[in-house]
Amino acid sequence: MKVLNKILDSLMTCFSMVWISLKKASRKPFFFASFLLVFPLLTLIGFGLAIKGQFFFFNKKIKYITLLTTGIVPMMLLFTSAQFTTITISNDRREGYLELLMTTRVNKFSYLFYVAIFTAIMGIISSTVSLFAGIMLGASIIFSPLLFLLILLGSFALTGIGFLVSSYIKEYENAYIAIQIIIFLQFFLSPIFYEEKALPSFLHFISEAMPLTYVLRAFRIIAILGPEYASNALPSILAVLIISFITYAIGILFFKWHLE
Amino acid sequence: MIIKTEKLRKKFGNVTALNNLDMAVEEGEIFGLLGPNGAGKTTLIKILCGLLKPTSGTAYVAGFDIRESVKDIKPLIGMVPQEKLCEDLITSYEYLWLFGRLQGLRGSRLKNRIEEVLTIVGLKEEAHRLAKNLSGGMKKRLAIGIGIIHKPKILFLDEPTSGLDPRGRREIWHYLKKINSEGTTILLATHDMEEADVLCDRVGIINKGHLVTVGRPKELKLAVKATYSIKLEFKENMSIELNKFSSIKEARIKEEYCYILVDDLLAFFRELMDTGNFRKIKTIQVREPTLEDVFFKFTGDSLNESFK
Repeated sequence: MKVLNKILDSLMTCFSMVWISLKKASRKPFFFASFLLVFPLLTLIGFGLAIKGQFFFFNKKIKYITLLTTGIVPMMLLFTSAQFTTITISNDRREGYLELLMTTRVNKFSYLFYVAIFTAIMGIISSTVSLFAGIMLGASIIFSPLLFLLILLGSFALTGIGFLVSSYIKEYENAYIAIQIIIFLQFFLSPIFYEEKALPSFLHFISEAMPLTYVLRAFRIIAILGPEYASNALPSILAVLIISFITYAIGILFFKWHLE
Repeated sequence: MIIKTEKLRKKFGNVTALNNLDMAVEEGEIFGLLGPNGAGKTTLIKILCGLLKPTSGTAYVAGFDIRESVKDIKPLIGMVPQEKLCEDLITSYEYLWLFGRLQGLRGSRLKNRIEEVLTIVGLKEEAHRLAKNLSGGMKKRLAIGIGIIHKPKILFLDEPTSGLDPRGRREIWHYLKKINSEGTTILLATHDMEEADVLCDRVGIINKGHLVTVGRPKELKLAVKATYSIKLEFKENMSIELNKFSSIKEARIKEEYCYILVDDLLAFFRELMDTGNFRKIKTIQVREPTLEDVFFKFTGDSLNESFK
């Protein structure tokens, strides 16, 4: 009973922080709108209208906009989860807010869980917008509960990268640069804008080391082929789970709830 | 004793920030840690709040050992850090709501406490204004409000009035006295001797990680054992031979300034005229001994640059 009360209390604490962060976000509508909505929409419209043609995915004939939409959604998850996590934690550290939290009853798990939930909400908003925008532009997506579970899983998994970066790198500017490099490496080397087979073989090895590649692969299978092809997505889902476990474990371990 | 440190030591690499510090704060008092920048005040507060771990020695806060029971200490303390705070796009009310929730307050208890705190720190009118749009003094008051939202037994403040104008400083002192009168023990770090003098029941002078002396401001000033404190500013490349003055009880020269303690002011000025040294002086300031003189007496150093 005592443990349950503690867990409930931690959850309430988390949601209080999430609620206030959402309020803050609502007071910066242009920043969030440009990041969460305008950026994916422009990418979709720009590439979607520029590139035409037929592609094959597991022997299924698909339009480029379908390939693009199923690439943009995981990309936005990476942008929101990894980047927002790093920015939120580094900024809280820089502004002295984290230090103040450390003097309260809040523990590091509640704090990190709050960051994960907040970024997941942002990820869900941007990926949903991207999905519907893709459909409006002609993408054919198969909706299923598994698809939304994957969005959630992808968001939480990629948040681990942000935890890792902000645990190791304490200064805001350095953490920001580091996460940008990590994001852009994945941006170009994970098959967001092209089919996997289009990647030169020497880059395949690097692409396989990118967490986004697995999120993207699993998402594409479920979104294009449907949940009945879940067994094909299973290896990628397992890889995502392993990556999340590793990044969370290291991130949480190295995230100190005191000053050094 | 609500706070007690025992041989507390903190090293950052080769730098010793606190050196075997022994100190005690009584329940219900306002205790001032007075010292120059880099003296170890902030380090001490951060250790007592559980933010930093000591290299050796320990401290007890509300009876709990900081090495073993940080979790038990946190609900009992509030902290107002030195860094800029309350710059976010949320209102004063939302700040207090959030920190109240984080400290375990819920429902009507939280609502009532927010109203109470807004009254205590004089921000009732500004409750729904975005914190980033508040004045510097109001932001500090809001930070104090955040620190006391859960009615802590001890409130730690690090330079609570730095960067404020005289009116803002006096307002903060007023609110701190009010909070203290309601039973909260206050430990504040400052390099402002007037603040320590006006606000604190007892003052501990800290320098280079050592606690130099502790006492009530009045008692400390008596330790100076002189009626007047004089500060002379010399003209360029000028100085005087102080050992020729029989009226001087104690004196120190630092750069173009000379700090002198005397009992007979008239005798000192007569000697200054008779020796022909008057023409070497650019400015003279005379006052009663302050904590600055106490600091001089015990450390042989200047407390802060503002004195110059």
